[in-house]
Amino acid sequence: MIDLDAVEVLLVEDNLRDAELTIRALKKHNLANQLFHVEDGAAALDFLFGRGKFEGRRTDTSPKVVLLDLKLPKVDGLEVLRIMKSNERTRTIPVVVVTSSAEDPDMKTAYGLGVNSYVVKPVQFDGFIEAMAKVGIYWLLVNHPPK
Amino acid sequence: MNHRPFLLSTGIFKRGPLKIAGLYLLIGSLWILFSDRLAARMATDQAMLTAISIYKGWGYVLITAILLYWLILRDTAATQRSEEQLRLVTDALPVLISYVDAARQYRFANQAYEEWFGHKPLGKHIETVLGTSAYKIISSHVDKVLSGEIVGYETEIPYKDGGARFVNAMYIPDVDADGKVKGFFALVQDITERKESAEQLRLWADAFEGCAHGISIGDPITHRIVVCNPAFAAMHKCRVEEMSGTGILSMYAPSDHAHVRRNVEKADQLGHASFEARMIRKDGSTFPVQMDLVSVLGEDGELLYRVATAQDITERKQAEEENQSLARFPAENPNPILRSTQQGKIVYANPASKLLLRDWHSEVGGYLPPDWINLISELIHTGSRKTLDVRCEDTTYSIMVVPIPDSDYVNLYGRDITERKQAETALNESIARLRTLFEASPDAILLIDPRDNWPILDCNTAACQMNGYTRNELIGQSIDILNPNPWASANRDEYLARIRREGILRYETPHRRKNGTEFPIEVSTSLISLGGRDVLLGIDRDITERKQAEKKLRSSEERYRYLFENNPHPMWVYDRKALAFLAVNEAAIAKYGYSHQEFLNMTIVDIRPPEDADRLMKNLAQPRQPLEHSDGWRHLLKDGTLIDVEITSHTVEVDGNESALVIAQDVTDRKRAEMAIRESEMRYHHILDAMMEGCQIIDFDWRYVYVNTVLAEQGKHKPEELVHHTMMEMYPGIERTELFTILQQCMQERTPRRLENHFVFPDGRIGWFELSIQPAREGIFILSTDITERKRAQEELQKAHDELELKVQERTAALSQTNALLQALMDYTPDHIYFKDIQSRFIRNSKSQASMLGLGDPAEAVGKTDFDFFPHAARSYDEEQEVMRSGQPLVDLEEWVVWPDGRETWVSTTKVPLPDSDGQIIGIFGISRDITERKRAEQAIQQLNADLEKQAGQLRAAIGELEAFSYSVSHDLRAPLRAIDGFTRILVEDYESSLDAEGRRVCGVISKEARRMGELIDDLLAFSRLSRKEMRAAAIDMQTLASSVFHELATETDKARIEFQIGSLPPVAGDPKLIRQVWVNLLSNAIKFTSREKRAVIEVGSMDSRSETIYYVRDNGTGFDMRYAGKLFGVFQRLHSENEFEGTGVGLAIVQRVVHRHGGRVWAEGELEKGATFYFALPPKEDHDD
Repeated sequence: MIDLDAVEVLLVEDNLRDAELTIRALKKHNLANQLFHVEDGAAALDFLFGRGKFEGRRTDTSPKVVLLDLKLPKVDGLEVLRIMKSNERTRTIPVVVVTSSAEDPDMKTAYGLGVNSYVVKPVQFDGFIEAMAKVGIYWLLVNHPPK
Repeated sequence: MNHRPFLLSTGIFKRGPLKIAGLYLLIGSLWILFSDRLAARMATDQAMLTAISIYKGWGYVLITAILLYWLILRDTAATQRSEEQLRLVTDALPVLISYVDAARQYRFANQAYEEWFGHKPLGKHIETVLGTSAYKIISSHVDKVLSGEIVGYETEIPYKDGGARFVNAMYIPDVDADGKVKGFFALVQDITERKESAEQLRLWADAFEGCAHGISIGDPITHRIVVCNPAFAAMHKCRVEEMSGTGILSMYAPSDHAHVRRNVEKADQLGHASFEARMIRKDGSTFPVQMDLVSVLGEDGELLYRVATAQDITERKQAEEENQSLARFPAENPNPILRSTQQGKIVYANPASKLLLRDWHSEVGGYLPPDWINLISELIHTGSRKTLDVRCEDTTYSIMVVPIPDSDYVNLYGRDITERKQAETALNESIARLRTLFEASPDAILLIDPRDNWPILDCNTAACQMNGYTRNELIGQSIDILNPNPWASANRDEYLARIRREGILRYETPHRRKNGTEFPIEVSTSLISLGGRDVLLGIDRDITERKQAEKKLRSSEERYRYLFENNPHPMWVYDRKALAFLAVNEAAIAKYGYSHQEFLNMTIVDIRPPEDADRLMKNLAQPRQPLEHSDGWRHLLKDGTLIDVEITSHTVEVDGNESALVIAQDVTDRKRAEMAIRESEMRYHHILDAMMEGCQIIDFDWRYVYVNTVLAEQGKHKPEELVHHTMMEMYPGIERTELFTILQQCMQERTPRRLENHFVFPDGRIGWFELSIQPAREGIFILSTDITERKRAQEELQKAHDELELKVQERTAALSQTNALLQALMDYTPDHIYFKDIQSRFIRNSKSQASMLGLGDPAEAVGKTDFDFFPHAARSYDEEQEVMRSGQPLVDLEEWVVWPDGRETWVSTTKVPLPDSDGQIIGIFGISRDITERKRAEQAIQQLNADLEKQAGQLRAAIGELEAFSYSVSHDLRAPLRAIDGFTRILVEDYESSLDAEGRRVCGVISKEARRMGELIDDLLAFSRLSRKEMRAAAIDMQTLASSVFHELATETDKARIEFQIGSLPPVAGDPKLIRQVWVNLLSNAIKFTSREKRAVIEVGSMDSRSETIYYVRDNGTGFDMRYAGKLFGVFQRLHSENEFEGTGVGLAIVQRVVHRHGGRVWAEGELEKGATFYFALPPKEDHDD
């Protein structure tokens, strides 16, 4: 069981296959050790704010990066983003939108909300794995998260 | 030393005898030995033995005797033979060989002695043989040799025939064993010839050495000089030693080498050659030589050497040249030179003799004229020469005939003496002329001997006549006979001295004639040299008349002076240069107020007013005429009064100075009078000029006497141009006019006339004048008024009137035509047209209107209003009134009308106010049209539009749904694909060991298919997006776009493999993103389908046509079968299997969609395995549809 207080990557993805692939990709590069996966927007928010299911989580620690899909049940990805970016505590957490949608409006909105990065899921498996790995490497190793 | 003559014999004896002796011995020995034995054998008894021995002995002795005999015979014979040989030799030798004993007698002498002396000297004493004189010469030598010395000497001894010979004698003493001289051998050689030869040789050598000509001997083999004589060397300016060894040819000038060689050969062949050549010295200077070459041959005929004799012929050559030039001389001589035989045959004539020959009618080879021939033979006889003058044509020759001694030729030397002759003639002529002059001179010419009493040597006729003497009476007489006051000799000497000093004396003196009368003469004497003597030449002129003339002049001068002084007009003379008064008459003094002295102290400037000074100076500076007359000067009197003067000035010479004689006439009054006249004239002129009418006075000669300015203007001339000229001059042809006839009438009949006249000016213009002609004192007086304008105006008016008439007619015609048109309109138009007045009463209606109103005839409606026909007329009445009031037309009012007959229609009514010419509305004009149908159509359209709107809305909704659909497709369809692909890969990766090859292949297939589906989805999405997307129009730089697309698409390997050619692509208008997609699809196709080519060529280019811009992408790849070209652009249509080339088949469909949206077109050409070209054409920038 992962230590919820030491989560480095929060993966918000409803599609279990995609989630599995993402985790696989990160695992290949040893980046998936501290990865936590939630399947909808509400769970994500609960985790981040240490409420609901995740009551008791230490909220002074934050993941190094949140990989956020847009098409989520319950609470939509963009909504999650908005909430995250409007909250003092969660605003500084790097958010990478990882989505199938390359639609302009979504992108515009996301950037408008202050997303740190917008990644379109490659259709092909190879590309997907590579992209995920790159994202992981960058945000976990290269990027310096705020303390 | 003992000289034995028989040396040979001695030799033989030495060896021979030994041999013989030896042989004898041997034979002897053998005989003895064997003969004894033989004898012993043969002998039977003692007696026989003794007999044999005796015979043997006798035999032996006999043989020995024979042998001895033989030997001695041989010996003697040999001796004799040698003696004979010796004798032959001695006799043959030309030398005297003898042996003389001590007694000086010849013991032996060879034959030569006999020949020499004529007898054998044997036994004789030398003296006898040689002769006393000879013996005397040689006796001392004989003595010497007899004393035992060998003597050799040369001497001359007399010969038998009286001559003498040179001999070389050698005496050798014959000393016996005791040393006593028994005699001596004498060897005497006749060396006369040798001496002579030596002498000759010496002579030759001297000659050789001393010869003035150069002699050189050349070696024919080495071609070098062996030896040469000093003269030769001198010729070459060298020493003899320097010359030997010199190459022969090198001595000759190079230009002569061939010539020399030829002559050498000639010498070798013929033995001798003689030629001229140029030799060149060692210092390089050349000189001409005469060479005589002799080739000396040896006994065998071989060439031993060549002897060359060279003669420096420089002088000779010069002489020859001189000769030649001399020879040319006659040819060049401008004077005739001829040579003739005694018989007169011309053997030579130089070119200058042409004239003579022609005159003699002869030529070279011909004969001289007979008188010449006679002369020649005479001259040849006498040996003298003669000169005579010959004249042929214009030339005179002085010909000297010179016989040539010792030949029968004569030379004729001619000299052109024409000029001399001419000079002589001229001289003679001038002498004659002079003589004539002398004689003919009207002046007396006397030649006087200036010695003694000055006798007259000669005088001419005039002198005789003048003085009344004959020539004979004058010649020899003293000059005093003519002189009434004879001179003393002292005066004469003084006179001569003066002449010598001054050259010519001129003076006047009286002469006395024979008859005693005296007359004055002017004498001019000079001293001349005539025939070596000084002679006084005196020329006397009778000056009686002149003296008289002088007297006359003096008197006329006085008269003149009188005239000057007493002239009532002021006169003066002034110096032109100094401008000073030289003389002044009384009148001038009186007029000007200055005294005579004052005048003489003044200049002519002083009598002018100061302001005129400039003008005066200028005038004076101009060249003067002898007589000048000038007006307009003003003079200043002493009291200050200014007068006008008229100056007449004569140029005179006074004492050598150019002066002027001036008469000044005071014309002040005259001027004033003139002025007054002119003023009054001016006044009249002004009056006349001020008149409006033209005024002219013409005299009886038809000359303009006076014209005023107006007339001049009328006549288009200036007044001054007309005055004094005749009418005919100014207006040629005027005589022919009717006007002129009238003028003439007036001029002659003196009757006044008045008429109008149109006048044609010389330049063709026409003018109208009203003339009033009256007779005048001078001729006729014409008053003319220019009525041209008036006439023209009248004409214009008439013309205008006529035009107006015409216009009115036209207008009326037009009007009626218009009326007819209007009527036609009214009758036939389907529209309802009406005219109403201000009160909306119908003025006029169209037929259709009338019929709608229910009237048969439009005229019936006139005067009625709407109220008569329509129930709702009030409304229209109001409308009309409003229109008429506001002046604004009512256009296209649509209204529902109920016609009188109950019909109801929609009409469109237009009502327009009718203004009159002033703009006042006087009525209304209306058209109403039945628009029922139109209305109905409009309503239908509206309905349709509404339907369309609805449909459009539905369509938009559909599109919206479509968009949503594609969006979800793109999203939702992709995700599972990713999973399929991904998990399959995971399977392969993680469970590799469990999978066999087939298993892995199957997994591969799954992955690939999943990917493919993804591509299909992408393409479909793109394709659908295309249709929706709004196109942006922008200018696209196709060049850059295509290029950058290619470079993005092609990998490094691709770029290495592909040769990418891009031409110049013109820009085009379109949606940049969509066009980019076109390039991407076409170029990626090209890259893909050339992937199999080793060397792929992709060419991008464009073709311009007028209506569209065509771009193309050409590749040399796999190409396609043209049969399936139609399928290329269909969606999902592929012409290759997935195995050959991957792809979804949407690319080209997209290209087509985009291009079509731009209003263009696509097509393709291809050939299997060769390549394909894909074209797309876009409309040019301005138009494309959206």
